[in-house]
Amino acid sequence: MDFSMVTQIKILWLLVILLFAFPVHAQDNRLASLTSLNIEELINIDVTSVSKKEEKRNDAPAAVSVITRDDIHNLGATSIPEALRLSPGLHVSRITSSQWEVSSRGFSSVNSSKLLVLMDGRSIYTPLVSGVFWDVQDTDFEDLDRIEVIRGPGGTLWGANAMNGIINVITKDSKDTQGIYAETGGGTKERFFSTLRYGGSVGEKGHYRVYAKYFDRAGELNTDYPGTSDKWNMTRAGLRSDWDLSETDKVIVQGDVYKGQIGQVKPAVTITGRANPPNPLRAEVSGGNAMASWTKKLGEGDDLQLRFYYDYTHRDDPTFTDNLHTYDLDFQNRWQLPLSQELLWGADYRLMVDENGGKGVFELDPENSSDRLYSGFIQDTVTFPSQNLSVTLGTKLEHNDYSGKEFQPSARFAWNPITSHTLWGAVSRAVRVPTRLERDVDIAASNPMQNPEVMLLGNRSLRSEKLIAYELGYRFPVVKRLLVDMSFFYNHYTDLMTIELATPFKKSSGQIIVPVENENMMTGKSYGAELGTTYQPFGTGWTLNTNYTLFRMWLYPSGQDLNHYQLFAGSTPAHQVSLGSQVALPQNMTFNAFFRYVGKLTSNADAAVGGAGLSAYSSLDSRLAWQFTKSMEVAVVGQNLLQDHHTEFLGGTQIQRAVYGSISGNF
Amino acid sequence: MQIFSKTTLILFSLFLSTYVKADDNRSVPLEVQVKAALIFNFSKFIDWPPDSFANDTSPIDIGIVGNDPFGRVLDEAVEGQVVHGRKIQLNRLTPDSNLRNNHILFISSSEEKNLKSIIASIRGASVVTISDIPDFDKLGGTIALYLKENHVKFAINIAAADQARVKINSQLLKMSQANN
Repeated sequence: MDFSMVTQIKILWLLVILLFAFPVHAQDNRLASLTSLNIEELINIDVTSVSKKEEKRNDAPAAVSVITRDDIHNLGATSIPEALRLSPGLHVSRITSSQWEVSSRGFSSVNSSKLLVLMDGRSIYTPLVSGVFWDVQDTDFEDLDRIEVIRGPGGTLWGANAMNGIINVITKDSKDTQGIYAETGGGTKERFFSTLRYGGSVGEKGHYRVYAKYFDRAGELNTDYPGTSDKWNMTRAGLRSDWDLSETDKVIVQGDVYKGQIGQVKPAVTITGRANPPNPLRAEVSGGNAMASWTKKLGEGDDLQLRFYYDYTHRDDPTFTDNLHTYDLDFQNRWQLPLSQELLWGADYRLMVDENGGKGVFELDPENSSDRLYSGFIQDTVTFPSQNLSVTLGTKLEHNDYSGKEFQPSARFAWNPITSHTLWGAVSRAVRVPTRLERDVDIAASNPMQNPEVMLLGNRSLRSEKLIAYELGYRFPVVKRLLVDMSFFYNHYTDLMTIELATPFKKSSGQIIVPVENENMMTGKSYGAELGTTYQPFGTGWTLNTNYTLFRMWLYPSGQDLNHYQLFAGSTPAHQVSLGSQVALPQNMTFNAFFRYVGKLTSNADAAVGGAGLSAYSSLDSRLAWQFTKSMEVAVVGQNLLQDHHTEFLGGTQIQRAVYGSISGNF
Repeated sequence: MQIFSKTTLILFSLFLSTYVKADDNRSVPLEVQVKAALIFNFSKFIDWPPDSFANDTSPIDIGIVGNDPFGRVLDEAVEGQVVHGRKIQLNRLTPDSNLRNNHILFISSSEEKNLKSIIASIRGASVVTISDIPDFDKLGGTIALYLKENHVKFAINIAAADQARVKINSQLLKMSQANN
């Protein structure tokens, strides 16, 4: 049953009227909400996670939002991309049961190519597709501390691919996850899931946790690809240990392993003239990582950090196999300098060894590749206390095996013109380095038996894509100490990649090859705005979160643009709105509702679906939970409630209405 | 299906943006805000002897001695509040002021070195002392505030309460035992 347009308008305006019905409190809402709590409630407030959230939102000269573990728990999200829907500025679409599109400020596609995604500082970017395989990114959500989302470049210190945003998934210190946690449940789509964690300590200075997690998810409604299913399952285990070696030295050692089977509805790569792999399509994935970091406090505000990690991913896809080994060593140092300056600098070395094997559909040439990346950064923040101003100047400098040297400077400021007002701005240059696929691909695009033959070839002289970003943000109280948090940006892109026809040549066998290559022949511009708000009219009894995102883009190819990448301009919606409401009910129950509206896509850069657009959709998730003993909670979650099924992105399956129940306990 | 026209969307987001959560005291960490709320709440569970008030309507005096970590937070917590029929008044004091006239005295961690002399100067007066100085309750203070697993907890020294001739509601005593 679809709600008609008129009904949807009525629901939304009812929510608006509810807002108007409650008078605005003159006091600071958060303290007002604290004084309405009794002592038992006050001593149950976690005072650290929220202050990190406040810190990030209020002090940073960047468009930052923080999603806490509680936000994710109350939404009932079971995957990281679903949790990312809570942040303004991101466009998240579920393509199939296991595939998501996640983008920040444009270029929505199945590869999140202009986004840097980190798990506890470890990059989970796959150079093969210049993107993120979201199906193998996961952690035990109970022990997740927060997800920091920074829209725009330059918000982090690493990476030649943090062009449009950075997402950092941060887990809790094992000191805060002691004891046993167990959870299990199931439902219509979440067929079965279970997590078990044990946290303990070694003496007084060491703490650790180990966890294991399994889930089995059903496929979604598949009308376009008969004989296939996008169902999938994953088993994962991990550990984290935190050691306070002394007052000044802290060491963290952590790692995870996983293994799973991922159903696909269509092959990852399709070439005309080559047969598709036979159904059913399934990828076998496995991998693991190990990371150690040492932080040493040198003085008041001075510290250094040394970190090493190893990451292994194995993907046995119907169209290729790929093993990627990543070795990364990085170092960061923070110094307080005279004249109110803070200097931050660091260096990173990363080695990526990739072994790829084609399965008759495409090959990479060479099949195996070792790529080294050397990068460094330096940043100085100068504070002018009498003018309430801080200015940060910095640059990332790197050398990589794809495009040589890259230089990414950035200038930022944060200014308090009046008390409680923060105006921040930034100008940054950022790059996206070409992928191994773009550089080394070797695919016959037409029947290799014919003459001439069209071949998709990599281009070793491909340059990186470039961006100059101008950003401005303002946090200020509007009506009697109510704060608005908004960000605006204007992006100018050059050297964007397109596929072009190159000069045909004759092979020694007499066959004529018509090469089709990646070239840097498109420019573009985009602008947009992001707004995030929280309202608590009755203390912590009722919280209303709202987000709004505006986005516009224009792309200008100067060549033939054979793959129609110009269509990226319409693949991100112009408007997105979300409303989240959390109500505390009597008898230790809570009720959450999360509504979102995603505007229409006017085009799509995925050639396989002919570039078509997609109509707007809205969706509602809700959760009812009952804490029936001090340590145990039972919950029922309904997802995608507004329609039987809807499409969020073309080229996949349709996401269906679903419900699941779960029971969990902390002992 | 198109729900919003552009105008509706802009109006909608403008209305929403005026109903946003306040954050004026963001420079005061949440931990300190929780402590301020607790101090205010404790006043509801304490009975002072009648001779510690000038008359039936004189206010409950909360004194802060040393560096004030609360900013405006404690002022706002007690503004307009009435406890046992009395208003609440905040006083900022230095260690040499007359501390005996307060019903509740919050001793800032900046006064850790002066703690002994402060406790000595209020001996016999009906003052409930509260502080987050470590082991405050073992050093002669009445209520100690401390952090345990990222939560603010409190411990009550009943002997100190008895010496000050104040009666602490058994509910509060039960709560302080429960959280240890």
